[in-house]
This record gives sequence, C-alpha cells and structure tokens, in this order.
Amino acid sequence: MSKTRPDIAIINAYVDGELDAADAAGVAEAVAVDPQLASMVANLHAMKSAVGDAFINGEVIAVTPHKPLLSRASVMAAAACLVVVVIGSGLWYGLSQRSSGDVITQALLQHDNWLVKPKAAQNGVVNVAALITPDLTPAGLTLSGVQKNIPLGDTFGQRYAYVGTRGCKLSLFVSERDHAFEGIGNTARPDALIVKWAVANRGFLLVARNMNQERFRVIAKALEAATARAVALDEPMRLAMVQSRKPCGDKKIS
Amino acid sequence: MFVVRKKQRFEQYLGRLHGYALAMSRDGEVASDLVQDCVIRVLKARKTPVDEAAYRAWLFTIIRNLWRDHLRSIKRLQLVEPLELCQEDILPASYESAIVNVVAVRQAFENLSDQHRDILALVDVGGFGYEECAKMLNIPKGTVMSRVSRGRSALAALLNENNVVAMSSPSRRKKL
Repeated sequence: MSKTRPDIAIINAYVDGELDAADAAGVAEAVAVDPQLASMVANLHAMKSAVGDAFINGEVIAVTPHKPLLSRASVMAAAACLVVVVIGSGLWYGLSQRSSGDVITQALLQHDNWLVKPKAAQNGVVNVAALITPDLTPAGLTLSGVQKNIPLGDTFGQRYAYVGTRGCKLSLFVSERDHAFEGIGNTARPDALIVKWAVANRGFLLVARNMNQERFRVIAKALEAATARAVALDEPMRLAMVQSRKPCGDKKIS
Repeated sequence: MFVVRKKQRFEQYLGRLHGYALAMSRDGEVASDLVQDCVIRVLKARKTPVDEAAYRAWLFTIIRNLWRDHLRSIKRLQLVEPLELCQEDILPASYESAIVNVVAVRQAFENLSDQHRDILALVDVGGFGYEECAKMLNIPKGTVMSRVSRGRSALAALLNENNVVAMSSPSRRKKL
C-alpha cells in the first residue's frame, strides 16, 4: 500500500458520496494513478450495488455485467436512423457521413461491462491529471476507475467510469484523436444517452443509460466546459449539477 | 381520501423498506410482516413528517424499531455486540475477488454482526447518507463512517470465505 493511499474508511466514504468536493477530488486523483486502489474502489462500488440489489430487486443477479441491449446489427441499423437531439446549445457538432455504429457499440459494451474495469485498470496507470481530473461529485458521481487502451472504432482511448450512490453509471471516453467520434451525433436513444465533443486534439464521448436527460445534459455541458478550459468545474456548474441530481432507472427510489 | 394519499406517499418507499426489512430479518415472511406493521403504524399516525427526507427516515426507523421489538419478543436480541474486526484484520486485497450474486450476498449478510448488518442495510439498501444514519442510530457520524468501513470489510471477507464468483474473465462472467 502506498503512503499516499487514503484510509479505507475514507475510500468507503468516497464510494458512498460522503466526501466534500476537495476530499473527493483528492481520492479521485489517487484512484486515477493507483490501479490497485481503483480496483478496490470498483469492488466496493460493486459490493454496495450488490447489497442493494440483493434485497431490493428480488432474485435478480446483482453484479452480472449487462448484456448489450442491442445486437451489433441492430445497433448499426439503429445508428442509421438515430433521432438526433441537440443537447445544449454548446454541445452540437452535427452528423458526418461516416457510420458510427462500431464506436457506439464498443462504447456501450465498455459501459455495460462495468466490472471489467478493475482488471483492466491493472494494465497501466493513466495520468488523468495531465488532462484534467473530472470531478463529478457535485452530480453525485464518483470516479471508480480508469481503463486504458480500449478500442473505440478505428482508434483506442481511455474510459473514466463514474458511479453514483444509487445505481447511476456514467462513462467518459477520451480519445487522443479529435476526429475519433466524428460520425456520432449527440443522441437521446431509447437505450442510452450519448454526447460527444472535441477539444484541441482530443475527442470526448459521454455515455449513460437510464439517466435523467436533464441531469445528463448538465453533466455533459459541465464536462465540455471543464475539458475545454482544462480547469476544474466552476461554482455555477457545480451548483447546476447538484440541482440536476435525479435517480437513475425506474427501479431505484431516491 | 386522506388514507389514499398516505398510502401513495408510503408506496414510493415500499421497495427499499421491504429490502431493508429483508436485510435485517433475513426472512421474507418476517420482512413482509414488518412492512405490513409499518403500513398500519403509518396509517394510524396522526402526524407524519412533512419533509420528505424526514418522512423517509421516519419510515425506516419504524421498521427498525419493529424489528427490534420482534427480536425482543423471541429473545434473540444480542445483549453484547460482537467484537468488531480491526481494520488490519481485513486486508484491502480481500476486495479483489469479492464479486457476488444475490444468494451469496444474502448468505454473507446473514453472517454479519447485527451492528454491521444494521449500518449496511441503512446505507446500501435504505440509501441513507452518513448524517441521516447518525441521527437514526443516535451515534456520531464518524462512528457511522468506521462502521460502514468495517462492515464492508467483514462482508468482503465473508464473500471471499464463501468463495463466491471471482471476476476472472469476460467469458466467465457471461456464464453467470
């Protein structure tokens, strides 16, 4: 255990969303550079979810990774007729002609295979700080792990996996190619919310399922602004995220 | 009409209340009875908390008190709390393979101390924050924090002990 690793009680408090912004950001930074800690946080999240599901959702298997809701073929078909929704005035980049099915499918698979990340996190250390430490604790989401070198269409990228205290999950994909997500429109689909943007030489893709659309929009806007300026979230953004907090899915009760 | 409104307000918490009762009692029938008794108390109550957070805490406190009454009635209440595990007893590495399914979690939960079961049921099943738990249990927030931590360590140890499903590979997970 490294000297800088937070106390186990602090890590649990982090998983429960109990730390203030400064402390949570400190843990998030430690998680980002310590694969073993990331693994621990991810497993704590999994255990927390498993306990909730074990008693709330009957006999449903708690920690089984979700199967993709759509097959690759159907996702490709769906991608062809996506209903494009403008999510915030600053987040609209339009559609290009390139098919985006592969990237969406891969991103959703990564997002659904939530529990892959503890293993993948051991593959290498990701220097989040070089980019920004995307602190979403005001939105009730904590960084639970980072995956490196995951396939995203014809390129590779990183994934920041966020989880809420009551079942919300959010994935931020970052590619070192600004055009990596070119073919993807910002969409509100029946099965997922997706938004993309590009800053300098990086492409960003944000994915969630069963999340309140307004909450997702606020988070996306905040992340886009933060990544554009490479600074932490400003106070109005943090407040907007706090105010937009809503439970995810239809099984959870706030 | 008043009763209907009371019922509607109560119903939105039904799932978590039943989950909490189940986590505490480890018995589906007892859990249903506890929730039923809770409904009766709620319907009988002349005053209910207006604030939604306070109302939710009030409901869970009713269930908790009902459960303690039930324990007393069958003389199973442990007078002496079991010793808590020292933090050092459970290495963080014990989380590594503590991945679980419903049955395993329920089994492991059954073997937790009352104290650990109590706090994890409130936090992970009830969805309460540490501050709320502290008020409900009448203990300092710091104690809640350490109990949650020790409770999860104990749960992880039990899950590892029972050797539940290890997360070895994606292909293995698909078989779950």
